[in-house]
Amino acid sequence: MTAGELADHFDLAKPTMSAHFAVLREADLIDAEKSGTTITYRLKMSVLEDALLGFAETFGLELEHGRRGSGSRRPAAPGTAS
Amino acid sequence: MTSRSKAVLGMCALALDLVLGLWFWALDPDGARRLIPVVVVGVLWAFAEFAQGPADSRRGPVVDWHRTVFATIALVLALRMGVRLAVELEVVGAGWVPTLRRGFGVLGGVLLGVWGNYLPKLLSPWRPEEQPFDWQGVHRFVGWLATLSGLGIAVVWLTLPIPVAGGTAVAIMLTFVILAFGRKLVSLASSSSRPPLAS
Repeated sequence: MTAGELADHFDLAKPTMSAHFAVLREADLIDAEKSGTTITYRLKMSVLEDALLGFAETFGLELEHGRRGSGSRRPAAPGTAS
Repeated sequence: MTSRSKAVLGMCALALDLVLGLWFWALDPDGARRLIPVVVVGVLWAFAEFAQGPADSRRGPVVDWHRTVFATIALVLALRMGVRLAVELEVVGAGWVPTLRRGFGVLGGVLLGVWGNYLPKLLSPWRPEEQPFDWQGVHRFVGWLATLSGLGIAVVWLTLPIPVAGGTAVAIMLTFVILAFGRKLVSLASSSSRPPLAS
């Protein structure tokens, strides 16, 4: 997914999104490729990282549901970000 | 370790496999079958070296990954053949054979799991608009499948009686290979029926 497409999914300013992307890149969880003015992000998670994220997301959803009654949003399903 | 060093290490390990296989053959006319895995690993490695994506800088990490994997497989194969040769030459007592078989079964499962765990981290050597199929999606699926199959094989070898464990592990491996190739074929078929991406 391009940076613009990802940004459309969140109510956040673009510099904030860039900071989040930088953290994910530093953790080697995503890969960014620049082509002209477009940056394309791809997921780069091992099976263990993917499983841990799913585990955390399940518990995170439940915690959030308990607190505010709403779910969390994930930018892209595994394997579909390209 | 550089990619070239990994290639040299892998080739040395394969040469060692070949020597050990020929030694088996000299000891026993039926020992020739020990050479089959050596030939299979060599052919698969050659395929991975020359048929993984376009010949540009994006291909480097994929080739490096395959060199690591095939060098590891060749080293484990050499270790396994060395141990069997030691048993054949009565350097190691026959009483150790069941334990060693179980140990290599568990090691094989763990290595398959580790390989599968890392597989989705590998990035496609093709540019997004040039993908021949959903490379990333297929690798993610195969990675999950290999991790689960590897864990399954390790557990089977740890818990079941040896004759049952051997058959079950082969059944898990065959299921893994069929599902992995099936997923790739489905992806290739859906890519060829889809109109090309607008660039």
